[in-house]
Amino acid sequence: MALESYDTENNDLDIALWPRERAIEYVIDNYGETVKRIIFTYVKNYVATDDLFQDFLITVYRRLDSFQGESKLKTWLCRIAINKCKDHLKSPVNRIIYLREHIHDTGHSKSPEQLSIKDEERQQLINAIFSLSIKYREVLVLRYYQSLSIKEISELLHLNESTVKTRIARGKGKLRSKLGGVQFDEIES
Amino acid sequence: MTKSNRNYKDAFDDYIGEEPLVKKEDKERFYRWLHQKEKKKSTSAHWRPKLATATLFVGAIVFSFIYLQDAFPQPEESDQPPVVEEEETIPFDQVREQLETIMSKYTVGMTKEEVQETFGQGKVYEGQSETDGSTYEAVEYQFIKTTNEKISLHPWSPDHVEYYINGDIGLSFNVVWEENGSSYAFARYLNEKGKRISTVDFSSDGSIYKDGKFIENDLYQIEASGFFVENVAASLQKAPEYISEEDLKTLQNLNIKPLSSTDRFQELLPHDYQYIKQMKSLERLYLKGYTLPMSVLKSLINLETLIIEDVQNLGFLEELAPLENLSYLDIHQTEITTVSGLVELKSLNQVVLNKGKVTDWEVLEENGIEVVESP
Repeated sequence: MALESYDTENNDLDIALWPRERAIEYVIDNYGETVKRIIFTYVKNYVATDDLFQDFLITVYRRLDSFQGESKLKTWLCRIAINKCKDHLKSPVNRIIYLREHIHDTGHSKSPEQLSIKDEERQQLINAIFSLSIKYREVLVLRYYQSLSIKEISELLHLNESTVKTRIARGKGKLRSKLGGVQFDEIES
Repeated sequence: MTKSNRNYKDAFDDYIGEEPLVKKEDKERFYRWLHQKEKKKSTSAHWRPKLATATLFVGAIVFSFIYLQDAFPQPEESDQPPVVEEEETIPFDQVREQLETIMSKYTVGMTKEEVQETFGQGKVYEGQSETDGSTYEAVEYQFIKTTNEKISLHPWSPDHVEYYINGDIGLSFNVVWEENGSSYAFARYLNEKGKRISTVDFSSDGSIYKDGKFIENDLYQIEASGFFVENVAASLQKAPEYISEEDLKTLQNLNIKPLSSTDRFQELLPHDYQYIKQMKSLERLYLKGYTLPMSVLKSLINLETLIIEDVQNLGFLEELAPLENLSYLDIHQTEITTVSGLVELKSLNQVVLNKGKVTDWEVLEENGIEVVESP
């Protein structure tokens, strides 16, 4: 089969059979941005995001053989990235760094004049999400940023669907107590 | 996507940054790693011309140096300003001695009282882990401190490298107790070259790492990864802390597989391979998602049964020929496509494989080896 015919998301379940460099190019071009943004939501630091993304690419390169196509390629890749982030955060030094680091000012945010009241509320909400502990932050990021279903989140994080629902509910509760009246609009899958 | 989903997504993107995070540098960095890896592989094949070039280059430099010295006379020694060596950082010998003291006296699992009795009161602090929101208590020590200035290393960030570079602190040591009862510790100091901070991590599972590289296991009797020791323990149905080198020598049946979902990305360490090589009594080996280097596999001279799952390739199968007792090989859940090398194995009776994947399986039958498709 010609390589060109692999270049659709529907056909990437057999990526383990592709030439490895081609597979990595495909992963970077098609899933790199999503993966890097997920990594950032864990470590909240651009330099660490770059380093972990490299780690992620090396792991994918080495373990491509073990992708059996049982889950979507995106799910498999996100799982590797999330495990990398959690391993990174487990390191004693990183725990202390990230514990003490305040919410990062990315420098890309819109100025208050550019934000409508609704936008501003949402921005506050996102800031508050980034100040939550990982276990609540990750489910809210995957649900509201990556728009994954409860089932997909449960597969990705190896959690029961009921646990995911509970964490989302508790995460929202913590946000309410941080922000007062700000509410989540209900999201549609 | 609904409007509300889009709005949240946009707000997240505003926070993280609207510019793409994936840059061409990411690909370049990855390919640098890949090419270095490939270069390492081929280095041994090209050492002679490289050595000749290097000799020529060094010779040219030495010749130029001698010639230039003759051509431009140097000023008299007395004309030169005296060289003053500034010794700003703390001598590394002192730091090393302190680190050795810590490594000999600290053991994972010590209580706060035991630690304080051993190392002094230190600075006690509390915090909350971002990973799971749990609380912890910790003690920090600043050893070989040369200043009376009150130094606070928290928040812990690379900016504090200056304290080590300026020689204010030789080594800091933190011991942390989590609310779930586990504890870990880490020591930080300026490395021997004085260029960057080195870290020695004492993990709660007993593994000790220096700058991320495994040094030893403080919890288990053998100096191997926790993942390997736990697999041996599971195979023997013993607690991992009781696994000894003697157990490895008498072990007859070993399974190496992920024991939990987080083990999926665990890797075996070179230390683990050294222990596997000692398993001279091993008769049955089951590998799921892991391969061993051929040099390790072929040292298992008493192996009779080998079952491999979820791997792409094993290498040149004829290299297994030293396994004179291997009679049963199951590779039906692998991606191996050629097996003719197995005819070199004198005792091999039965091979389980997927005939749809393996192109040359008939060669085995022609050589008297039974081929079946399911175990």
